[in-house]
Amino acid sequence: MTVLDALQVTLGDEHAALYTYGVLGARTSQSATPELYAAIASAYRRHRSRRDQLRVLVEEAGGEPVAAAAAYEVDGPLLRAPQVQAAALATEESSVEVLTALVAQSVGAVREWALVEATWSATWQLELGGSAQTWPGAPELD
Amino acid sequence: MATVVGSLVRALAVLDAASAAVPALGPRLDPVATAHAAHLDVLVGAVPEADVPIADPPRIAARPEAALAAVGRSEQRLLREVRAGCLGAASGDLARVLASVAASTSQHAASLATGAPR
Repeated sequence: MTVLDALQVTLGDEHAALYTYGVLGARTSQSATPELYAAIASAYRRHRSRRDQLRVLVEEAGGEPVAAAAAYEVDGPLLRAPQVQAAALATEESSVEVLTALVAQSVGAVREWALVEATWSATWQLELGGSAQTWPGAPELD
Repeated sequence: MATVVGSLVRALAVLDAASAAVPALGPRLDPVATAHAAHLDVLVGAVPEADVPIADPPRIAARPEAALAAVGRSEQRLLREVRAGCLGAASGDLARVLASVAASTSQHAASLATGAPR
């Protein structure tokens, strides 16, 4: 896999993450669960910025950024706050895996950017009810 | 790689010293030490002939706030060194492992900083 391929995979994952957070935000009450709403809103902003940066990185690598799908499947019912929180946590766990794969396929500024973003997604899991892990993004090492 | 191994050994020594100085912190510090021991095992296993350094036992004040502060500083230093190791790694696979170690270290540091028993 080339660095461009890995960037495109990461961008595709970000399109899905951004869609998911849009759904999760719409299912979250700012008045009833303000902390969860704030955590999801912050994550949405981070992933939107990440998607925009990935588009730039893909173009700089000589590629045409992959487009978002019209819709993505969001797993599970999202009727209660714990279900929304679990879906957001799963999204961040997936992001760490994709970004650590990008770390492996890149060097220099792209690797540094991927490392910063992987660390952010891992740490943000604590805001979403997750716990510290031994091998975030590399579950085969557990 | 040797730098990161040395940093992990040093961070483990700080955690051990903090737990010895303030035993009540054990339940909060033990998960961090367990994670770093696993990180060390994988990194040392990747280079079988690598020497594992021995860290001098640090002196930690027997006060919870001081011990936690010392651990916090140690974890932030470790995080910087693991990040540097990741960025400089010639192997993509090693860079990915070090990225995971950095992510884990950041998670544990955040957990300790908030005081939540994660």
